[in-house]
Amino acid sequence: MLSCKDVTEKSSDYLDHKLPLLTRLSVRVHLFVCVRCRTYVKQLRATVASVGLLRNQASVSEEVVETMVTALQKDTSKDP
Amino acid sequence: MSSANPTKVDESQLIARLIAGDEDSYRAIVRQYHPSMHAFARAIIGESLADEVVQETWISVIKALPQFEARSSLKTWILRIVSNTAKNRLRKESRLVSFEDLGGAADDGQGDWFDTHGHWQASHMVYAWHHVLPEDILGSDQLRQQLQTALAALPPQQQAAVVLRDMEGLEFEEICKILEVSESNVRVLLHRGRTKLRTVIDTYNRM
Ligand SMILES: [Zn+2]
Repeated sequence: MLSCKDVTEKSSDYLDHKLPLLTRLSVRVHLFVCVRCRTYVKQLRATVASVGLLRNQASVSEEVVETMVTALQKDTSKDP
Repeated sequence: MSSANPTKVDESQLIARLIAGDEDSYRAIVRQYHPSMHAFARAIIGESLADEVVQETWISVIKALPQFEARSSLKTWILRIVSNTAKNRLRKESRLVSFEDLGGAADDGQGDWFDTHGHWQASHMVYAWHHVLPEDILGSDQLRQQLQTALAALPPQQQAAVVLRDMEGLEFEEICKILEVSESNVRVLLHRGRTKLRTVIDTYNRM
């Protein structure tokens, strides 16, 4: 029987589907009966999704794009 | 459409145009990959040198493109060049530290959460958050800022793993190749990094 400590230690691997089948099932059984760990895992999943959303909302300014393109043209044209 | 894999076709056409020196294709590829490259370079070498490393990487990418063999995706290939460029720069900047030393302390920050039986301590009760949807979590400018700051403050290896997995959505196999670490190592880095980021959101929810 996994303790709450075991479950939180495995929660990152659980989200990535990196646990052996039996361990994964033990985690699921624990989450079924333990509301704190269930909440914890839900929050860890929300954290991961939020980090992903941070990335999706990031973009590059057109100024930087032009600087890079100019640098690339200069650099690639000097040695043909 | 006769093609089974339009992305692959688009990618090879884009590569051909880049090799020919087409300006609009340069713009397109910079727009597409620059944010990923910058976030990853910043993880390894810090904000102040990230721009320089990315610019240096772009020049290497364009020069090396004729050798690109499509054994990995273009993105993975580019991020690998970012990794090499940033690690070289790190060695030059600080002779005493290498990226391999920057995994962070073994402590995952969960030390005092549990009693000797592994049960949650009363002092570390897990409370439900006001929001669990990412759109709502990032809806608070203050929390968004705190999360970005916390990500930037993670030890380089942890930060790099979180960027590649949770921001870029790469598979473990690709991450291992890019960072040159084992899969179990990546898993540990993700566990530690994510745990700290969750704590940031949790603390905000308790205010
Ligand atoms: Zn539990």
